[in-house]
Amino acid sequence: MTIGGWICMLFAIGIVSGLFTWCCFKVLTAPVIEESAGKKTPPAA
Amino acid sequence: MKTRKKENWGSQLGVILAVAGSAVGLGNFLRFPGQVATHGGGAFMIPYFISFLLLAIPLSWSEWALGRYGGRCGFNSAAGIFSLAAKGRKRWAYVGALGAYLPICISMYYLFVEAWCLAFAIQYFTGILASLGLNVPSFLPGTNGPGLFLGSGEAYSNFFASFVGANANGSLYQSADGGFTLTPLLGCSIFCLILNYFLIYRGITKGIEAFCKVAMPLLLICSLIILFRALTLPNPIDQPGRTFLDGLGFMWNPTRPGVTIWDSLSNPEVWVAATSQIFFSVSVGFGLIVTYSSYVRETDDIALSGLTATVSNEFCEVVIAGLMIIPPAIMFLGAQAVEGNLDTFSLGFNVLPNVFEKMPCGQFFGFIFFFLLFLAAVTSSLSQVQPSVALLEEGMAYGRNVSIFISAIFSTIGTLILCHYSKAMFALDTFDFWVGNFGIIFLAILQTYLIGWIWGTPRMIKELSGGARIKVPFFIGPIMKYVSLPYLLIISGFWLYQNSWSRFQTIAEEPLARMIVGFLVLTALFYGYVTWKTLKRWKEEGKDLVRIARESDEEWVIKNKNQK
Repeated sequence: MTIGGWICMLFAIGIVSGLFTWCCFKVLTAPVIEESAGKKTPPAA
Repeated sequence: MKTRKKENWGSQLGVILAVAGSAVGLGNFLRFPGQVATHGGGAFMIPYFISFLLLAIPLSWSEWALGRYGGRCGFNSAAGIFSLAAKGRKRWAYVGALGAYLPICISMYYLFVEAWCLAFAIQYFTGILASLGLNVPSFLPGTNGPGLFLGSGEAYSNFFASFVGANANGSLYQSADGGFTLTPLLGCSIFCLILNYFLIYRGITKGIEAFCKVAMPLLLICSLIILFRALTLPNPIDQPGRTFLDGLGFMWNPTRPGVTIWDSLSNPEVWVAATSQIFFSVSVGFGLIVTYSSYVRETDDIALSGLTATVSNEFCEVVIAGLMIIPPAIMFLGAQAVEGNLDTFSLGFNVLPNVFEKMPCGQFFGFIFFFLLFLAAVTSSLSQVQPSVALLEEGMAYGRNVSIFISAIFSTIGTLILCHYSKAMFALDTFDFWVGNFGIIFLAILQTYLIGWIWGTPRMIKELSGGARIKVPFFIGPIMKYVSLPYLLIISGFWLYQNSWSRFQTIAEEPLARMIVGFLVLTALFYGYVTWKTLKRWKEEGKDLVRIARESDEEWVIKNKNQK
């Protein structure tokens, strides 16, 4: 494995892992919208 | 008029897993490592990431936006959605019908390959494949060093050819005396057909979403187990060039003897290979995401969902497959034995079984690996059937059961053709080229033109931003309009130049190729007829696409004014 190989591998894996972690964090910490969870909010009076 | 019950995804996570599942397939785990190693190693990643930014993300987001727009206007089929986006122009409904036709044709051979994965997993589970005794060391001619198990590689290659019926047509169901026999692969093909259509029958939430919610985490666990095994493998042979790092270098080193990074980057083949890999891997351009996202609610964050699904696909491809496939193969077999076997099927079904046989607890890891491929294949094939079901339900007003039945007939006929004409996998290859490559490129170009130049990128950005908790970059619109389409046209032009001429010659020379193309044309005519009937029925029922499109446009203008 050359230095160039290490740079390419770490760069590729780093970018994708970073993006994946950020997306997972955003999805898992998103506020649950009631309608999305399949519950209907009652109509306003 | 009978009103269909509107279906929706149950949760945001569900739709992300379903779309990611449709993208993650055999191409991620088997095609990507081979493509990187063959086309310049680390240098391949530069055009790969450029294609990711200029094609994968804009196209994926545009499909999510178009799909939700269509779903909000009451359409789930690509035929209806495309026509609506083209301001009611009927010819675009026929283009959209390709979004049902291409996936159902792809499902015909994908189900067959899915059955290979299941059959191999069962063979490992029962110990049949692990105890075949195929690992008879025989050294490469002219070498005396241990560990060059070319002989056993050939044994696996022969086993695979016989197992999938590549030696003779009809060998998958004919016994030695010419009678009928249910071979393991035929049994698995039937099981896969039933499983897929059962899950589709259960519906969007209870079938596809429920399955993907279990299958995708399971797939990730299986791949992490294999990755952990690959990273912790002891050196089997104390020889130069046979360590784990040598395996990584084989795949990732950007320079090779006599080849610099610039040589690779100035080679159009490397660009075509990288763009094709990302394009086919992300599953954009052929109506799957449009159909899936039409079931998304208006309040859902499609910008984040689209990005997460695309990035999950990349995670499986670059991080997991990039580390777990090639290094063990180099450690156990050596670069010389791996070099000529880097195409998808050779790597997956010849090289890796050979590696598992030599690996401690190889039977267990072999089972896990092929089971993970099977899960990846099922989540992909499910998404290929749903667009056809959606078109038949929506356009012909058939019930769900009838729509599933008609789609299942087409899938079954295609799979039976492949089961019979299994010799040299010629039929499978022909299917794959004309629908899985040529057809997808054709539809992707038209779809990108539709979204960028007719529906309009401001609409796309606005639709994406609705309900989004992340900010959609402003430059995605201009990229989609001015960069993605020309880039797709140039790369597709090169790709077609490289691949098409010989395929047209094959049609002229081979009767089987003509028969398969004839079958594909007949299927296309059926979907064309369905679209014609659909448009006629909508007209009779007063469902005027021009009016719906206009009303939607007016509503959009008012919304925009209010926001300003």
